[in-house]
Amino acid sequence: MGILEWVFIGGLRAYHSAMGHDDGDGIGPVAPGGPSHGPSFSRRNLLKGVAIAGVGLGVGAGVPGTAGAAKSKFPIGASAKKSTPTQITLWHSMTENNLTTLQKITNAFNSSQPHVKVNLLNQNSYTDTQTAYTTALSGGQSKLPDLVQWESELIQLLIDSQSVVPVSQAIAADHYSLSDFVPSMLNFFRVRGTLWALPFNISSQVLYYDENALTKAGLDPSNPPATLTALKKACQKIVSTATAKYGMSLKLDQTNFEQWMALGGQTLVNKNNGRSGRATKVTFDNALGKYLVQWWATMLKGNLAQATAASGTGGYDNLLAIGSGIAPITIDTSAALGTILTVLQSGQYPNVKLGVGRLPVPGSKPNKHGGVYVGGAGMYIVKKSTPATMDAAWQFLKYLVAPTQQATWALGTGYVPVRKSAIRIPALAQAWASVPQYKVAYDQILASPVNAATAGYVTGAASQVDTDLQDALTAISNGTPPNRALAQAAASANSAIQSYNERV
Amino acid sequence: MREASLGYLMILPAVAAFGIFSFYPLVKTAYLGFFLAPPTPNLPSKYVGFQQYSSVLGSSQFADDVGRTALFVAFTVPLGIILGLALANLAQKHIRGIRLFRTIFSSTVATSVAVASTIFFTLLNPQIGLLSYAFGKEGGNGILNNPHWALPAVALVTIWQNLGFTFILMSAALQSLPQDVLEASMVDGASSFTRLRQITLPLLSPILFFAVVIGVISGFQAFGQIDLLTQGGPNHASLVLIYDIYQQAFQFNNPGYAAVLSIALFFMLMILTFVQFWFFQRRVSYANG
Repeated sequence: MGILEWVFIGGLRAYHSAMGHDDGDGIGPVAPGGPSHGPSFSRRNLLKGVAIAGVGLGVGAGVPGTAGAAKSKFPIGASAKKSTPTQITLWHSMTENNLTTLQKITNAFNSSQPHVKVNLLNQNSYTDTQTAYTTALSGGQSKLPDLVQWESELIQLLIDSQSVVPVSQAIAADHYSLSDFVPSMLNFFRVRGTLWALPFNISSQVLYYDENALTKAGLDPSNPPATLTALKKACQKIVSTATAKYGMSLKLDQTNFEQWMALGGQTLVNKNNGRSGRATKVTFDNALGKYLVQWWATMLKGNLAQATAASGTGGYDNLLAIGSGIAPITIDTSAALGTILTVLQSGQYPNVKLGVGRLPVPGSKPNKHGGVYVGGAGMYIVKKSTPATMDAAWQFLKYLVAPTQQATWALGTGYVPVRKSAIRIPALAQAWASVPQYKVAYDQILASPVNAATAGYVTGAASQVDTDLQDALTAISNGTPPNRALAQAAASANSAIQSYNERV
Repeated sequence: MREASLGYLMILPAVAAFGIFSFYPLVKTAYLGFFLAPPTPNLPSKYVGFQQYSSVLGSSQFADDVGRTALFVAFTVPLGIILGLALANLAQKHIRGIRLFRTIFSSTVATSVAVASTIFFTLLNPQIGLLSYAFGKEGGNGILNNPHWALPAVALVTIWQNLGFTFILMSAALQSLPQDVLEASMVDGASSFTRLRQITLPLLSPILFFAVVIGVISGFQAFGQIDLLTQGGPNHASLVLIYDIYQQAFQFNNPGYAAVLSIALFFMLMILTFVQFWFFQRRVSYANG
């Protein structure tokens, strides 16, 4: 027991030092081959190509309408007209390797042109960004940043603050093409026809497993479970062959439930997931929701799965359990992959051969209307009275999401590029060819159809809805009947949504 | 007259400090409770009068919060004082190395809430925690994620962390006891239990009173250990009043709701302190001779 603990603690330490602090979607990933892969052909040419490709589609196809908010003219080119550089500030939540890579891209931008100078301000976590931003809102415009990296699921709160300019305004004024963006990513940031932000750091939930353990249990590691039915069978096999104590670890994280709803083509809240109007109640307490919590309960009851903590130090227990052989399968964010590979490369767990698969879909076959929705964060332009800073923010944002920068970003961090052409940039293409696990999350997001369910849910009370769902999963793991736990979560989330809607 | 104005002038700094940092926020908080607060502070609030007070204070969540807070105080205060007194009693003995023990017993005074919580978080971790093994709770979900054990576990950490302070308090009190009274009782043939009950405890009553009042107030305001260990979970099992205030104000962006809870907490503590004063005034003996 003593030795085992030390091994665990060693692993935990390695994870901690590699992952840095919680950056909101869990984990700060690490590059596969170091952060310094230079692109081998010109960014400008590529951009030109993209722009030409975009012309055919026109503004109407790619841009989410000029409806409503897009009426006022965005001050394109205002920063270039000034004789002195326009200083802007970006509030972000990136730490460790993510921070280094963001700084590198920003430095390159600052030295590439004379008009805009970007200052980064690290708020350390999405929660801290939210607190700082909310506080700054009461102090007037001057306290606010010019660009803010904001946790994806809190989008409605930022819209309701009336402090950001939808990027669709800048896109319309600049005739900027969106055709190269991964459609389901834009889908997430579009609310009531308006595109509010551009995706920047994007991740999604994937299946992690130890190939050796699957082989030992008589399963095919090259063909991981693709459905929840298959996942359950695989876990049964792992347990019945005594390959491991548990088939898998299930993190007590509502994200899995939410993604499964989307994969099953179902919304979580009404008004088309809050996309066509302000959501007034939840819809997750439907047949699919009940199926999911039943499945969850069955997995835990039969020791097919162990429940592990969603966050904090215990938030890595599901990954550690793969290393220790207690439970060889789990589900976690793709943003963790870089860190996991680094830990494995250190030789700490020589018996583990890591496999990555798509997030299994509910039931026994995929739903053609279903797909994952994205996690991570978007970049928002803050509403300011000076045209120059707003334009400067837009110029920098364009740079951040350009294919070359997105390739650099994906290489340095493990996040998924938001541009389709980024994966053809040699440095990234080579890195992905040598470590194919990195491509799984991207392929999964790319395969996601564009509809309300796969857009993800939007409500100002998202933090509470998440907490309520997480409470339900915790309750089930402690023996509460699944349907009752789900009904409680729905009731509590409904009153939270109602309270939010009254206040806004 | 001149003397009076000089007096007022002298207390002015204190009044100003209290006014700015205590009274003004208090009044402002009570005022905030009359408004439905918008999710971000740049938007207008809606005046609703006492409606928010009545709906929040009448909710079952508030009643549950208060129940859990009371339970938490009931766990931490008596046990903490008993343990502190017991340790202080042990440390009165003149044996070799007693200074070392006194240092160890009082050491948690120098331990911050964050450090204490992190130590116990690791000890209670279901995969690597020694305490989890000791309690036979290893693997799976863990003690801190168990709705029956989360609050007692947080209480345990709190007791441990406060033990150093209680120990020092009780040691000082024990050392200041008049020896002649104790010796007289020994001559009279009182057993050690009788001595404790009839002489030591009554003589200690002022310090016990102080420890209870401080313990209750700090129990009602325990935040750090809950934030670090359980975040009010699982399923609200450790959601005490102060943590609900924090969640409402900073996580759910509902400062109006939080203001109502804060005012409720203020009045509860005020009333409790009055009751304690009233109760102990009749029983505490300050007379030493």
